Amino acid sequence: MEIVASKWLFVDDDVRFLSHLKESLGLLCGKHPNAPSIIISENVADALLLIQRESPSIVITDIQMPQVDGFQFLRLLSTKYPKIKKVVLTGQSSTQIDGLCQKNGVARHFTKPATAKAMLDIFISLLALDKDPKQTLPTPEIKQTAGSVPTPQEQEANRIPFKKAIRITGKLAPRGTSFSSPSSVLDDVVTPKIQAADHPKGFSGVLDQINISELVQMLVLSNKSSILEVSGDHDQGKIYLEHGQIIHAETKDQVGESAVYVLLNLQDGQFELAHFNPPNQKTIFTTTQHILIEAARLMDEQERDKNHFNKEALTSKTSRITTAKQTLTKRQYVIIEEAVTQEVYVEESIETNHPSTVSNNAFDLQHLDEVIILAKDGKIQYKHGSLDPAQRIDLIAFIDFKSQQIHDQFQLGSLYHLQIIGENLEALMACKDDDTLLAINTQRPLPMKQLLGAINKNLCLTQTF
Amino acid sequence: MPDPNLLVLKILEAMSPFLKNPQILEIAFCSENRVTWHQKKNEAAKPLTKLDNIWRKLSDTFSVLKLHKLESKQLVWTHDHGQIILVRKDGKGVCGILSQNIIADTELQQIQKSCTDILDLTK
Repeated sequence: MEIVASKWLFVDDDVRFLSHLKESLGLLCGKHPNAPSIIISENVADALLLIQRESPSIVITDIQMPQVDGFQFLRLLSTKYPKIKKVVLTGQSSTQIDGLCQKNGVARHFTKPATAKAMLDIFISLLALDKDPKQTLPTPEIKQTAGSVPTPQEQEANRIPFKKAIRITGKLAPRGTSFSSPSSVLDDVVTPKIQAADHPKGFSGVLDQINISELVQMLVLSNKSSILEVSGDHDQGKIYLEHGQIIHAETKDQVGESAVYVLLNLQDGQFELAHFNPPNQKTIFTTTQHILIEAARLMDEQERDKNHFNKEALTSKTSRITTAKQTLTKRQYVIIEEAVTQEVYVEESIETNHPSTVSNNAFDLQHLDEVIILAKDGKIQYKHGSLDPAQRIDLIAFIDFKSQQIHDQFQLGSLYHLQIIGENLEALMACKDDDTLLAINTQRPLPMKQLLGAINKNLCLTQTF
Repeated sequence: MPDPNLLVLKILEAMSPFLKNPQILEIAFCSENRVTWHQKKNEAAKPLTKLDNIWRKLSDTFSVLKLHKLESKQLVWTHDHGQIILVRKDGKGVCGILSQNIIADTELQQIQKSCTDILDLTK
C-alpha cells in the first residue's frame, strides 16, 4: 500500500528536538514519491503562517511552549482549521493533559520518543492517521504511548523498506536498547521485503549508530532465518540465525560463541543481511538470549577496563593528547579529581615557578589576565589570574578531546595551538612536548606572536617562563 | 520559516571561492539548527546527515567555550599538518575551513574577515 503524499507540521520550541526529528523522519521517508514532507516550526506564530502556506494534513504540537502554549494553539486550530488532524507530542503525560487533549479534539497523544522503536511507532501511527478519512474531524482522544505497538492494520498499511527502518533505529537507539515488544517492527514491517524475490542479496546498511547487538535482537524477535554478514575495522564474519536463534557464527579466526562476541562488539562497519543457507556445522547450542546477555556483560567489562586504563594512562605521566580518545566526561573527572587533590602542590609550585623567580624570562606571564600551564603529567605547573583551576583543566581536556577528533577525521597530527577570538577576549591554548598552556586576555589582544615565539624557543612550556 | 538548507547552501556557495586557494581542501557550514553541508575541493557540496559529523562536533566547541565564559566568534586550530578555521555568527551558524598547511597570518586574517562578511551579508 502506498504512502499518501501529505505534509506534517511539527511545532515545538525545542529546536534541537525538531531538527533531530526532521532528520530522523526524513530518513524514514527517504525519497519515496508519496512520502509525507516534514515541516517544522519553533513557535505558534510561524506555525500559523506555515499552515496557511503549506496546508498540512496533520499538525503535531508540543504543549509547553512560551508565549502561546499548545492548548491555546489547538483551540485556534479547531476553530480556524477544523479539517487538520491534531496530534500532541509532549515530554510529559498526566490525566490533566489527557483530558485537555480530549477536549481539544486531539486525535493522538504521544510522549516524546526516547528510543528508535518509539520513533518508528509514532511514524507508523501518524501514517495511519493521515490515511484515515474518519478522523478528519475532531475526535475523542485516542491515547497512545510512544512505545506501544501499532495495530496490524496500521502496520499493514505502512510497510517501509528494511534499510530505512534500520537507519532510523540506528539514529536513535541508545546502546543497550532492548526491543521487548512481542511483535517486532522488523517482523511486521520488514520481513516480507527480506523475502522478496527481487532482492536476491538481501539488505545492507552501515553501523553508524546502531550496534550489532540491537540488530541481532531485532532479527531474533522477527523469528526468521537469515545470515548476518558483518565487517568492521578489526574483524569480519557471519552470524547464522535459524528461526530467530543463533546457530552458528564465524570470524576470520574464531568459530561459535566466541565469534558471536567478537562480532557483537564491532562498533563501526557494515552489515549485510543475506538469505539463509544452512552452515556446514552448527556450533552454537546455547540460547540466543543467553548469548546476548553474556555479550552485554563482556562489553561492560571491556568498557570498565578501558576506563581503568584511562586513569592509569593519566597518572603514569603519558600525554593527555594521546589519551584524549577516551570519553571526555570520564577524562575530565579524572583530571579534575587529580587537580583537586593537588591543590597544595599547586600552591607550592606557584612559589617555585613564579615568573619573576625564573631566570631568562622569555615572556612575562603577568601581562596576561589568566594563565595556566599543565605539565605532561597533568600537574599544574603555573597559574596566574582569577581562574578556577578545575574549570580550566576541564576546558583543556575538552580542547584536547576536540583536537583528537580533528586528527581522527583529517589526520592533521597533534594540536600545536588553538586561538580563541571573541568580542572582548583572546585566548590561546598551546601544546609543546605534552605540556599545555592556556592563556586568556580580556579587553586587550593577546600578545600572540611573542607568546608563541617564547613557546617555540624552548623545549617545553615549563622551562619557557 | 525558510528551509534551513537554503541558508546553508547560500553561505556555502559564497564560501566556495576559498576552494580556489590551493591550501584549502574543504569548506563547511553548520547552521544554528545544526543543518550541515560541506564541500571538498573539486567536488560538489554535500549534506552531512550523521549527527556526529566532524563539523557539528567542532561547532559545539563554541557553546562549551561559552559555558566557560569564553564566548568567541573565531577559532583557529593549528595542528602539525594543517589548520581548521571556524567563524561563528549568532543566528546564522559556523563556517569551517580546512587547510592542508599552516596559513600565513595575513592570509588567515583575510579568510576570517571574508567569512565574517559572508555571514553578515547572507540573509
